[in-house]
Amino acid sequence: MDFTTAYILLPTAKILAVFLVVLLVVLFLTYAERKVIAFMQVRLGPMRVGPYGILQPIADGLKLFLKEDIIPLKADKFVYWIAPTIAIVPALLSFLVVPWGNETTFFGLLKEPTSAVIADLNIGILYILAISSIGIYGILLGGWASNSKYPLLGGLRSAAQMVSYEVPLTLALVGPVMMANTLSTRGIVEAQKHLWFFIPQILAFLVYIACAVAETNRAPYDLPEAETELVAGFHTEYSGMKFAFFYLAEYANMIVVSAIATICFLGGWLPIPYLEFLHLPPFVWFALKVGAFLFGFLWIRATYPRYRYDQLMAIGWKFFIPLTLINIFITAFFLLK
Amino acid sequence: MIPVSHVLVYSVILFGIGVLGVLIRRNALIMLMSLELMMNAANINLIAFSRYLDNVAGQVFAIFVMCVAASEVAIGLAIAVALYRNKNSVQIDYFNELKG
Amino acid sequence: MEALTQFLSHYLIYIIMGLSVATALGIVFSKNAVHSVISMLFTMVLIAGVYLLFDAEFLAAVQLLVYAGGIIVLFLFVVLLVALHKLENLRLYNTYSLFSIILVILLIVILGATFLTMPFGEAPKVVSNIVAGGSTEAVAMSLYTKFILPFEIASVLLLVALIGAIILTKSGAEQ
Repeated sequence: MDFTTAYILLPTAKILAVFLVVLLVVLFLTYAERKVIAFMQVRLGPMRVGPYGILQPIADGLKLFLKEDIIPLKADKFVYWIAPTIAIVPALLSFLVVPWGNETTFFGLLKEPTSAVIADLNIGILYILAISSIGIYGILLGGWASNSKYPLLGGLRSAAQMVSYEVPLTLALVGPVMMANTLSTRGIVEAQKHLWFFIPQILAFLVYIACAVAETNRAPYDLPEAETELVAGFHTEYSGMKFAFFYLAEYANMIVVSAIATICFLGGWLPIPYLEFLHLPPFVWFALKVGAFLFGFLWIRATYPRYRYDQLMAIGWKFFIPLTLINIFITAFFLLK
Repeated sequence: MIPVSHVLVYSVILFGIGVLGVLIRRNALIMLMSLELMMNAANINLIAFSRYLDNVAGQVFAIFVMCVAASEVAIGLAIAVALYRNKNSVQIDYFNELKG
Repeated sequence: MEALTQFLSHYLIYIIMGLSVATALGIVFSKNAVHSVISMLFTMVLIAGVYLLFDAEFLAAVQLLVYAGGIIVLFLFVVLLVALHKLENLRLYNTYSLFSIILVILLIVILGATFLTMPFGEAPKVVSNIVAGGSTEAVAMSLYTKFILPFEIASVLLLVALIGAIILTKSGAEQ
């Protein structure tokens, strides 16, 4: 493999492939969300655009694209403009270290297989956590720059919530990292060849799911955008493409946390035990597991009522953090034994 | 790799900007931010020398500096909030009660 | 290959350094404290980039986690809490600002000239102690063996800061 292919063409191809897939998934995740919740509430959901409303997200996207971009009169224009960008860039950058397989030849396009991840950093998991912590600023600054009371309240709530839940989220991932003995995402998946980590790390797994829902501001922890009290939370004043950016960031973050859960607890691209005879390609297994998580997100939203804010903070600091610390002690005890 | 002296000049510039912030601004919060900048300038040196001398101790020290910076910010901001409660302002020239 | 390594090891770091100096100036000279906080966020991210180019990827991630994930959020929180509109008509700078600026420029010039004339050795091409197995492992091995006592003291320091911050921000009614 010569230099141009190895260092320029191949990374570009991988980046394009990953981002295309992510954006497509995000687009149809909005459709899936409306459909799933509609069926759970015995409704039909979007039905007008295309067969079964399948083209609805494209119509929505076009509408947002053509909509007038309103900037509130006393808004801080620079911050108002930069906030959606700060929200979406970290969400997309996280996909840099998400592996969708061990090695890939891009369906036989390449002669020799290449690693199925854009960059196999040796700080993979830490990188995702570090990058995704920047996403908070998009929400907080967007809320402040709108110069309006509901967005500010939503932004403050959301920042406090995300900072609080980042701690148990990180601590929950320490367990799998200790068992895999590496931070690299590929390394963690390969360490699960014999036993998926969600069995020994069941405590961390459950805490991770709860914190992931809170970290992405989804129901039942969607206090930052609680419609009944805060109109639409931090993005009340946003419209057009800037609003679309916030929306995209939220859904991209959902995919990121699902992908981390799949990598750290559910064996990434490895086939499901007792189903190996299906001989599906690795990325299909990966997509199936991530898809199951995404469905879980929608299911939880359709099932549970919203938490009260003080309850949310109390459960984060007084329950989840001690639980993850206990989990780390137990893991260390069994690893050292 | 760039010469060590360029890294040192860079960190001196950052440190100088931090000193400038503490000297000329009157807002306690921005002075705290400038303090953070000075700590980071020191950290850059530690990490650069850890690379140039091939010794990991510099990186370990940078972690300790970050610990100190984090606790300093927590306390500093708590003091700023307490001051704001008392005087309704974070402008440092309002806090002159110890002046003889 | 040559061109890319040349770029990465020489010019990229100068670009990042220049940008971070510009954003650092933004911290000090922004009229609005929120703009200062945004400048600080960009400065910290760029400094993490500098760490990355010095083969300290673990420190770069820690820099992002500690500063972007924690410290600057705290700053932004407090800045938003202390009603900024009240500060708008106040003087931004001290009376003797010009004098301070001259002093600081002098400091930079003198120290910079000293550093530039000092005979430093060349950087080693291959670093064995740091990069073998990634800087994470090297830092951890050092941190938990040689520096275990400072590490424990640092944890006590953080605990003290935690308790101190809670007590300081408690309002008078609750005490």
